[in-house]
Amino acid sequence: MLSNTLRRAYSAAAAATPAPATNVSTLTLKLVNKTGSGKKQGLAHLLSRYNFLDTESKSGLRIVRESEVLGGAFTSTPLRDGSIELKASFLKENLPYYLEVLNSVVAKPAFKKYQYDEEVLPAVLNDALEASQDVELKAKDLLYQLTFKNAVLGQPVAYDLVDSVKFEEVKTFASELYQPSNAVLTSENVDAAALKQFVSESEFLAAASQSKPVAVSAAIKSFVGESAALRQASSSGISTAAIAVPVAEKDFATYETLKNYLQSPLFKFNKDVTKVELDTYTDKKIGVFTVYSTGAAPAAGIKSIVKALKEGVDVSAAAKFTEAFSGVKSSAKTFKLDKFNYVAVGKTTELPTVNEL
Amino acid sequence: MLRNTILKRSYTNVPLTGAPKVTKVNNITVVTKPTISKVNDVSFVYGAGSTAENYYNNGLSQVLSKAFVGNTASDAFTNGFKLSSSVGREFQTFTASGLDSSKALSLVKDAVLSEGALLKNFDTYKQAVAEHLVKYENTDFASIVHEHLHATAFQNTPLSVPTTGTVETVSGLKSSDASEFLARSFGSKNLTIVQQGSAVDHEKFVELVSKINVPASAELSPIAPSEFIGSEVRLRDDTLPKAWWSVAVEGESVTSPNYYVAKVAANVFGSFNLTEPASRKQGSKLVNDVLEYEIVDSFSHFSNSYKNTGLWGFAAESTNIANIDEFTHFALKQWNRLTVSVTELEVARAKQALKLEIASNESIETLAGSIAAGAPVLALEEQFALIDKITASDVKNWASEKVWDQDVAVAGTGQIEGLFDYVKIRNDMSMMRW
Repeated sequence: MLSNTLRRAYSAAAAATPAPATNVSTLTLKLVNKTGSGKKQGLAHLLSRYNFLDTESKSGLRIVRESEVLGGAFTSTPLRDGSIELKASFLKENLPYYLEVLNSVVAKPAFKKYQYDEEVLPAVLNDALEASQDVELKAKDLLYQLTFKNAVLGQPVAYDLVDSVKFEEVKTFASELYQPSNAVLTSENVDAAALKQFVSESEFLAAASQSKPVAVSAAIKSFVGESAALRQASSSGISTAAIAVPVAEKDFATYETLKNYLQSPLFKFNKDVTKVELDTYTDKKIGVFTVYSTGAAPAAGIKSIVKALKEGVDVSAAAKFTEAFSGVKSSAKTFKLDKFNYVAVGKTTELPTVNEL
Repeated sequence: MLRNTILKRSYTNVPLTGAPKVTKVNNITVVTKPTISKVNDVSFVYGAGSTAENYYNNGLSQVLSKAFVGNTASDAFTNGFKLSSSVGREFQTFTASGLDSSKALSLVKDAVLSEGALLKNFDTYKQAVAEHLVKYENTDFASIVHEHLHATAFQNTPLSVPTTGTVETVSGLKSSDASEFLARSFGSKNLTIVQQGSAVDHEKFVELVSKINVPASAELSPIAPSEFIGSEVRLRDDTLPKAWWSVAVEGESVTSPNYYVAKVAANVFGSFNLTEPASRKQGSKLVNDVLEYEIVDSFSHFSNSYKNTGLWGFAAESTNIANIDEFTHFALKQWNRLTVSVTELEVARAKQALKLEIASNESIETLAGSIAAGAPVLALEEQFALIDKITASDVKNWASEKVWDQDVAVAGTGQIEGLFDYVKIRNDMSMMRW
């Protein structure tokens, strides 16, 4: 069972569609990695597991014990671009407490060395072990490596132990990332006036709401037309074949429509499509569109999907659905696949190579 | 008091989404429930589900669910609607979600009320359900144990029938079985039509429903009450990577005055996951017992309620198969404490956890469960008020009657050699000292 935090990091739903509406209030504090800092792989994952441990004013134990008496929970999710998303879900009347904890976790973390060894590392290694057993995740990691090469976005999310990361390096990374100018606070089902007042009382968040967003330092370079294959055994004997294309900001609506179309009964091969994702990064400046075909024998499936996409599909029938469920208006009519990246993971001898697609 | 010391500031009078409205029209109950969702959901809820099936047509409701979604999918998608359907023990829902309630209503109506439309391509969907079941039976052991727990606890009564169906029964279904089932179990009398969303108008919706022509059905066949019996079922399989097991006593029905007390009691122990640092820091005494020797991978406590009975207990998973008995023993000793020494703080913590759980899990399935059991549809505020009233002595009184020295149902699969015999477990339900 993959831990919930990492599962969310990998899930398309987390990035593209709003969470199901409930009467629980949520605060999401995203620390956006705009500069691509943290070249070493896994820094965001390690730092993410540090969140909600001790701060200068409260111990991690106290945060858990207090929040359970009030009725609420915290999650911290590392994202692929080195950003981190902190989230609190709680009962509506307890907004000030959860806001204060989020503020202190990023403004005054204590970063104790013994917690790095005793709590952060075991949790991180467990996440990484579970991530390594998932063929679709492996495929995604490979696709991003092909698409973004050696940039931060090209690295896997889960710390893979290849780079040796010292405790101090995580601390330095935190001091760079946890800046008011990188912070974006969003809320759901929260009284706006009250939120504004409470934010003005917390130093870090108040600074964040006033600071001008720093422009992303350089355009992120992406590559298409590459392919890779990885032999991997899985307990259930499944393989994955997947394609990905980088998506520019102006095309997000088109790809959102295409995503809904491919999973709908209108697409002839929708049974072969096991997952479609449109993930956006570095505060929605770049996206990646991924289509997976996973199963005991996905070879025929991926071939028909790619063939249909190359010939062009009419996505206009998905417009109404996309407007209702993704909240995006798109006038896209037809979509034709040009160059893409392709990976095969699992029983590679039974999967097509890129030339056969 | 405790809350106030933690909360330096709090603010009151926070409006939630408001009270649901209920009207009866042409024998059909119409419910409008305001939510914060931008999309409106319209659901047909039938008081049927797996308890309306039997050991021979088990899985039929699942085929109907698949057929509902499959047959109308293209039409719904082009018009911007999403279809879904779920099968519970005492209900089945058919839902269309989209921006317009009246269109959603007509979509569900056309797909469900006409037998011809619902049973189109019956064999294809039957095949699809059977294929899904083969996969399910080889992977989802936690939920299989939960089904087995019901099968043994309520043996030979309707609640023992699994909601999923089995490969054997589903493969043998014919469309005439479905026609028979529809006539016997789906009628205006057990139909509730639910509208949910942020922009919903109850009066308008009632008017739309009043125009629906629900075919007059013959008498629906009544569902017999289910009875709990202390018993066990084990499916030991040492080729599986770990052990899954569950122990439960008879719980409360949905309409019982102790419905929320049982739920609070389950939340006193809550759930636990060994690999999550935050989970390890929880305040429950059971977590403390478990952590000393890391005797279990994860556990969760549940209080499931049905029309006339319920199940209350825990489900656990462990790779540490030599310590199955240790966890079972310590969990049951903690259950004893519910009767003798549960504290106000533990109950206060459990009440907040329950409120968060209820607010997070609002869905058509939880609503359908209480509708089908004949319970009133309550606003979140009303539910919270009922929970707030519960004290530690309520939990003690309830536990001394329903948990202390009561018969248990036990189910397990995987490497469960270490799950000790029934009498050993039953003996842990009480203690000779206070």
